[in-house]
Amino acid sequence: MAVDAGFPETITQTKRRARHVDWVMLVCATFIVFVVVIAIFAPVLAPHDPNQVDILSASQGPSASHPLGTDVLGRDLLSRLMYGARLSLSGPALIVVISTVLGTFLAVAAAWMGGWFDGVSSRILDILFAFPGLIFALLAVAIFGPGLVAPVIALSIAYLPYDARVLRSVALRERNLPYIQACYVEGLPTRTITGRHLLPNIMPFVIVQATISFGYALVDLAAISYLGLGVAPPASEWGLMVANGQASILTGHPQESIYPGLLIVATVVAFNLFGDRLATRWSVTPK
Amino acid sequence: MSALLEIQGLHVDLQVEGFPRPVIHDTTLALDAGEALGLVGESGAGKSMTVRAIMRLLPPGAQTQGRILYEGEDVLAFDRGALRRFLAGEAAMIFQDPTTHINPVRTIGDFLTEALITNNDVKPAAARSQVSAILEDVGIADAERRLTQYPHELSGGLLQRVMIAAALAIKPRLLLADEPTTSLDVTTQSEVMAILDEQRRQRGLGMIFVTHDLELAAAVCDRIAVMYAGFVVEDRRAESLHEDARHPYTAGLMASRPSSAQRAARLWAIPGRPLSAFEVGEGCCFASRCPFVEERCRAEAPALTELDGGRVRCHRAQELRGRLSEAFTGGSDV
Amino acid sequence: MTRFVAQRVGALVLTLLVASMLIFGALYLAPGDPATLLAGGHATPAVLEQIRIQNHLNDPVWTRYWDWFSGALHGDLGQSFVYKQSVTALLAPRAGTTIFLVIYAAIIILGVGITLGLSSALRRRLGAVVTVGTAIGMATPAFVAAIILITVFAVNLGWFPVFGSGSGFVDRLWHLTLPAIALALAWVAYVAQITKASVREELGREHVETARSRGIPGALIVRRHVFRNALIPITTVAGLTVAGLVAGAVVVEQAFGLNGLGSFLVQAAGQKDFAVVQAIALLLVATFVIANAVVDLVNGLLDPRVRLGKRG
Repeated sequence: MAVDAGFPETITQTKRRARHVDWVMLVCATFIVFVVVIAIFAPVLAPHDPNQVDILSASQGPSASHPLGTDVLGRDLLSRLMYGARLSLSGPALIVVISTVLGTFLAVAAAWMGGWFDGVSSRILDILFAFPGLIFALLAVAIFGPGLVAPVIALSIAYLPYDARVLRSVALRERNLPYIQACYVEGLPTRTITGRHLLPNIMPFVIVQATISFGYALVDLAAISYLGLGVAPPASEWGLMVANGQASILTGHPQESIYPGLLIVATVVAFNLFGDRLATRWSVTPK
Repeated sequence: MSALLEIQGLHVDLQVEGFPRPVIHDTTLALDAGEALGLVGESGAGKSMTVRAIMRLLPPGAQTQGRILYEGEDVLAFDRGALRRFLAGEAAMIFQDPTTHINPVRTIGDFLTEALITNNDVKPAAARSQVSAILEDVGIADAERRLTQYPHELSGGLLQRVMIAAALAIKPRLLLADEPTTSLDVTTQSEVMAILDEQRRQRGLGMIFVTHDLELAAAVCDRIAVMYAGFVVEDRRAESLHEDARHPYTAGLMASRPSSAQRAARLWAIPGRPLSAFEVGEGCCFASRCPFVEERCRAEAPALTELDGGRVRCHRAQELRGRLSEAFTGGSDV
Repeated sequence: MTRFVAQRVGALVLTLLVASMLIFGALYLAPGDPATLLAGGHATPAVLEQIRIQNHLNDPVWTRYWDWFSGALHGDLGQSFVYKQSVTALLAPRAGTTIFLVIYAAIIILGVGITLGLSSALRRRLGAVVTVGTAIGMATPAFVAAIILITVFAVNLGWFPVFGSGSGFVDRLWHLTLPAIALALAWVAYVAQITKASVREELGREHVETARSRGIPGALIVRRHVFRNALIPITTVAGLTVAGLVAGAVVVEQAFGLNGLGSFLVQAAGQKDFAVVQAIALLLVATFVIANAVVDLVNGLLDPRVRLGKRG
């Protein structure tokens, strides 16, 4: 068996590559922008009212008035997908913002103060690691009832340890660099050092981590809606749409489930690849 | 006297971003059986690449020209079977950093006996007793216990002795040592060096000893070849190198050695920075830094020619005889 | 070695204790009156008080927690509000399905994932295909994989049943194949990617160069020097994989109409059947934490540096 012993890439090679246009990254970024724009302008762009029921046109294939067909209740799939983008994207966005902001704060605080704060927060986060995100969300739903609020908060908390752990080691490494120590010696207040110097320099890591987390959040939240414990019908959310359309698969009309499913996969792929390429470009070692 | 190893006009290009980049322009050397040759030069000169080329350990995509003759046969043309026999019984390499060159999850015993068991069909028990004997030769007592230990449990010096033992275990005729003591601390360096030297002489092995330390090479080797920017620029017997260096670069290297015997106001160094092989232009590789440079040197690359019992790659070598040390301030030779 | 094991076990016990407190405490926070729920609606204050005393609802948190936890250790997981039955009795039959499913998926993940990763690291062209495949695979949630599998293999091709867990070993195997694949998909992609990166990195390591310099044949180098070393990062992420399996099982069971612990958890969460939710959550978390500890131990076995403690 011919074994190809791959040699690691040189620094020059990485730099050379960074100067070239990264087509993959461009395509992903375009897709993300596309989806976000559709979500924001859904009321303007959608051809139909997503909640308009029309039993007579149930489960139809693509047609002039319904480019992607209709669902089991005769609602236009394209419009539902477009409106669905709003819920499917805003939930994860919220989760990412909360967990990244909190995670960064915790990470920087732990890295800067060290000692008991670092120890205690690490222990607490270790316990949180024991809870897979979905289980935590289910617990939250059991306590507070179904909807979007409980799962979003629960997932934000569940993702916190992952963000905090990655960012903590980054912040720690950065903190020990000579230029930070120089600021310290100069007598600058902690607020200034962490705010003006430390934070901007770990920003690339924060952004990459946020991009990666977005993918996970989208998947988890869609799963909650799929299970019927998230948004309530007749809202159009991609996960919920997949669940609604599952019965139709048996009658030979899988499009109601497949389209939102594919859209979820495409969006997550776009975010993951984009984050991955961004990480290489900014020389951020992933995970 | 037929040479054990002869390198003729070796030229190596590596694949960098799809383009071939030279790392060795011309290495021409000969090694007799039982002789020790020092390969000296700064980083980027091509010394490590040369010994790796001999073992066919170059990275994928590397292109070689020239011939490497081991007992008259071209190693570069060996098929899989011949190459395996060569690596398994004729040539052995000692690498620079033993801590990374030995598999951390396998025992020392496993490392030492692997080649014997796999290539030479030696039974494990017999292999273990063979390597135990060699461990004692290199000064590691308590061989039995050592065989069951893991690499991270041994110090750098001990590990390098293990590496040497592994090389000697297959009873090679040619030893290639790539800066074997560079990663060790100074005291350990001399210990390990002494062991390597002793064992080599005892077994009558030919050795190519790669180092950036001219003095170390002179102490251990019979002959020294100096490399610069991918070229062999001088090749001479070690004793006479001191007095009879014929190449400006060699003289410069010797002049820049700090000496405890002489006081100097400033440490002297060859002006400029060492070139990598791919940066060399049309003329002589050393032209940009040579104090004796002329127009001819920049235009035309000199060939390696015989001179006074050795070889040198310099247009002006003959006329500059004996005048080389004048040009260098703070020369440390007395 | 014993010190290493003792440390891990100690951390495990501590985590389990705290996690169980969290699970118990969280449901304690729930709004609403459990007594009313138990009574099933309307009841006089006297009856409610009676229910409270019977179920120890007035006792302080700590005693109630301890009652619950010690009971759990003995196999008594309380009473279901909804079914008015012992939770343990409700969980027992369902546990079998979930365990079968998870083990089935784990075998697929390890078998297919590692093989895919290894071969794509050793052959350049396969590597490119695998990279694209894994990117898509990792982005596919289990329920999306489920409906695609159902559409193609169950409805259109009719090779597998659409739902249900089946009875008897072979029938179960047949019924649980699509669910296991749906569950395993994202993780196969993940494991393949990690394996490929890990093997590639090992191939470039210096100790591999040493083996090559001694004329050891390529296949033997892969087996003795690359594979085992490359497995170490893989076992590290195995813990993460188990978490994903545990969570994913919930979704997959629902998608395929399987009567397992996962779908029961979803149902109970919607009905606010606290005892059931607590019990299953505890089980799942315990499984995850124990699996992680086992993985840690295996890691220690594979890497002597971890086991013996790095020196210098």
